[in-house]
Amino acid sequence: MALFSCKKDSYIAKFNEKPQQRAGEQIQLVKDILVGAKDGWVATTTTDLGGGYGFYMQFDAEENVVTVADLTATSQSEPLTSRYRVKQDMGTDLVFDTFTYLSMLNDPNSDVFGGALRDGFKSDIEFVYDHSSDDSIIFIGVRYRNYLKMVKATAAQKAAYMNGSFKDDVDQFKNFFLTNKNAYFDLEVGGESLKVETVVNSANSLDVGKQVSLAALFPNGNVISQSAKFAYTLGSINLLDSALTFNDITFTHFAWAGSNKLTLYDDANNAYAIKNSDVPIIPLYKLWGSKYNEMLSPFKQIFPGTSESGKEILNFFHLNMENGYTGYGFNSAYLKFVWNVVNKRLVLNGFSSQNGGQSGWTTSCSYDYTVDDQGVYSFVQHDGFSGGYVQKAMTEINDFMLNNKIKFEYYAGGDTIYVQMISVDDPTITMTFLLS
Amino acid sequence: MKKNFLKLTWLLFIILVGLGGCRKEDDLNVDIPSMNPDEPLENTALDQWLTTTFLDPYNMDVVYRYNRYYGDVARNITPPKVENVQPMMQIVLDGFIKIYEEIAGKTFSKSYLPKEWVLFGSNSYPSSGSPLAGDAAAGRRIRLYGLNNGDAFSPGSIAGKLQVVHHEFTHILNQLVAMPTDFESISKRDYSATWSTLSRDSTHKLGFVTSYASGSAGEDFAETVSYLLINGQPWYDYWANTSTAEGRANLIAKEQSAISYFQTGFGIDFKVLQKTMQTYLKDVIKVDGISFAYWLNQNLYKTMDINISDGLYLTYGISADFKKAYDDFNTQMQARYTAHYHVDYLQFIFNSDEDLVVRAYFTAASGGTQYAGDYAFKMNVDQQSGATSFTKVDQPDGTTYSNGNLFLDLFESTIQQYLTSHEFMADWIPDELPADEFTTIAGFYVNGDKNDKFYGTLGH
Repeated sequence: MALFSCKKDSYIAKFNEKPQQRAGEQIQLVKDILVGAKDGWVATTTTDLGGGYGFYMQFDAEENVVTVADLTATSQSEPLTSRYRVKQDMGTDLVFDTFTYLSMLNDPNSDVFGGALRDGFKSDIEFVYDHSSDDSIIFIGVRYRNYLKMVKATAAQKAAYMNGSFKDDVDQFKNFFLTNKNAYFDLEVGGESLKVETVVNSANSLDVGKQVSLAALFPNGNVISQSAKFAYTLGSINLLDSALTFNDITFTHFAWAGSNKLTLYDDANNAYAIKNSDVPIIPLYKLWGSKYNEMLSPFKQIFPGTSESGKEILNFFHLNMENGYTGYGFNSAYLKFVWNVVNKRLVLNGFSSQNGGQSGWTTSCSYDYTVDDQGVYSFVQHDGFSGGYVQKAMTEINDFMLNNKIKFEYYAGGDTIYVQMISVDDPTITMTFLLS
Repeated sequence: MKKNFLKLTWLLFIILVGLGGCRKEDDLNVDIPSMNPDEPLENTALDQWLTTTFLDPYNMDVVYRYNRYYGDVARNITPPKVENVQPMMQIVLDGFIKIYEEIAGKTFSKSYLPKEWVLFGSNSYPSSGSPLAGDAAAGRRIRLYGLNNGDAFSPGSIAGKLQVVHHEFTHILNQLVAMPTDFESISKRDYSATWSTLSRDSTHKLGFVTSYASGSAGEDFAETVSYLLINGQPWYDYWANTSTAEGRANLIAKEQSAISYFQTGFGIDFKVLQKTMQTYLKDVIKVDGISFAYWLNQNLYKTMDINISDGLYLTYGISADFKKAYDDFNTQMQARYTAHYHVDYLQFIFNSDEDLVVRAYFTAASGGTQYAGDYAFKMNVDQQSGATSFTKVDQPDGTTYSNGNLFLDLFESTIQQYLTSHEFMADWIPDELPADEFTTIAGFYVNGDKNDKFYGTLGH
């Protein structure tokens, strides 16, 4: 009887306050920390489907937040005011609750910032408070669980972010890598000096965008390649999450060590000067299967570096999708090569879709290859065409593969590094693909 | 057994006491919002505007600051740009709330209009199929998506949003007054759970405004009402005319059923609602596709009849110049032959979007056969602005043209002179027409002077 005849106000809290009081205090705590940084915060986050991103944020007590972000030229130079609030949810939540640059990474419309349809970059606009210290506060994304890490900014940093000079800062980094196309640094390994290829991909693309990758050809012939997501912050390229570990060294960030002297630092603050080589450090073909696995020609996109005759071959596929040439009409398609280095095989997939790419069919064929020490490939058919509906439109690319000796080279166009497929027999035939 | 019985009795006793023995007062004192604190500050001019425009007069809450639980938790839906909130809600106010308030009254609008408006920046993307521009939940919440889209405030996009709002509100009305049973029977055999696999064309032939409408009678009713209000009567007529005979009959029956539902259920004159809505879309939002000029270009209307002695022109007036031209033509015609032919009425025959015949029906003074005399024109109607010009072209061969040639010189100096010497604007005029005649009568006014107009009854 006593058990059941409880009086509710006899509830004894495990802590000394009721849950709602403790939640209220936690909300106030987080808000106070955010607003308390008088010069705002430098923030970074990573995304599930893309790379990392850097922000400057200043919060006020009226639930406004001013943001600068490294996403686009506009977001780098034009501070944007939006609303935020801190509320109780599964924890204490920071919600960026009206449109801001951060929302672009979450947007399900791929036209907004190039994210995946429905998923965007798989990045959050709601973050749960995790912990804080004197100069930092850490949140975790509600849905995708990526960290949003904020460090207090200085007055000088705030001024640079707010007056638009952050864009110049980002441009300086980008220009360095545009000028120094074969960037590398020297690394001492077992008494020998290795050249480590250093690629900073600033494109906002899914998969490989906003990532730094390091690769080296070791004396035993092995290629080792590692990459990490990065964000631009003022004066620095930050390697995010657990940074980038290469040959047991954890690299943390790039910064300037003097005018135009870019330097990579490790977690022990050792400096590695970034240099430039006249030729690629590692020929692209050595990276098939380790760093790069696929070459993609998206629907009706002809990239720079494609010659007229190469364009004809690609367009024979792309321009024969909508017109019924295959016997069907398609409104989205792509061509994709997939490397299978273990079996010395290359697979060619022709995807076609009638609903804008949401779903569709794939026609495949494959080639066996041999490669000489100059990186020149010869292909012979392994499996003929099977599956899908677009075999007819793939005949020209298939003929090209079988009738030409082919080499693969890097091609830099703007922020993006492509692969250029070149006929050795007829060098006027070149086709440029996205690398992934 | 007895022991067990006693045990059971005790247990029952304990349970009963237990159930009855708690003091519930403490529970009632719980302040729910304080248990789950989420109270955005309402401290901006926008918040103030939303409060005084929606919350105070209508008890409507406008939620524009992102709340995952007001969207679909499994989807990425981004928050709206702050600067787009007021323009969107102004459209909801003018294109929905005010219209119902004006026509159905304050009590109706305050009682029944949806109480919660939730705004999002991106569209809502289901796991398959098209992204959503809006939807409704629980009979009180309407969600509008895509405020950040580049074309969010294009006339077509606004019309689409208002269509969603009116569609969802029709469902709410159906919860208050059940949908008419006669409506349910019209397309009963054609409703299909697999509507999404049907093309719009195939459902058009069956007499549905959209494929979605063929899913169930409830959706059919909401789609029919929202398309009548947003796309308008000319579109609806066009849709019916381009369906099969059966489809056309079904569409007309549905329209009639909807009109009587609004009248008997809520005392709302649906035609007034439709005219108000259409006028707003035409004049404020400038939606292409509901103007007279648009439908002239679609060649929806085949004829426009003008009988200057009709009471219509006494009530709403007509251009003095046009009347003089008409009267002069008539007077001179009577003087030409001993039979004293007179003009019965003029008919503008729209043979295509550019081929116009102005036909004079005439009869001898003694009565008998009515003849038709034709005059051939080219017509150019600008779909966007409505600017219209008429150009006389050579008279083709044929009996009606020969008849017209008998009075060609008279026609040239009177009516032709009037038509070819002005630039006109095509429009739904006169403005003052009662709602049930809206879009059944239309015409042209001289660009710059709305009173210098001629118009007539339209025929399909």
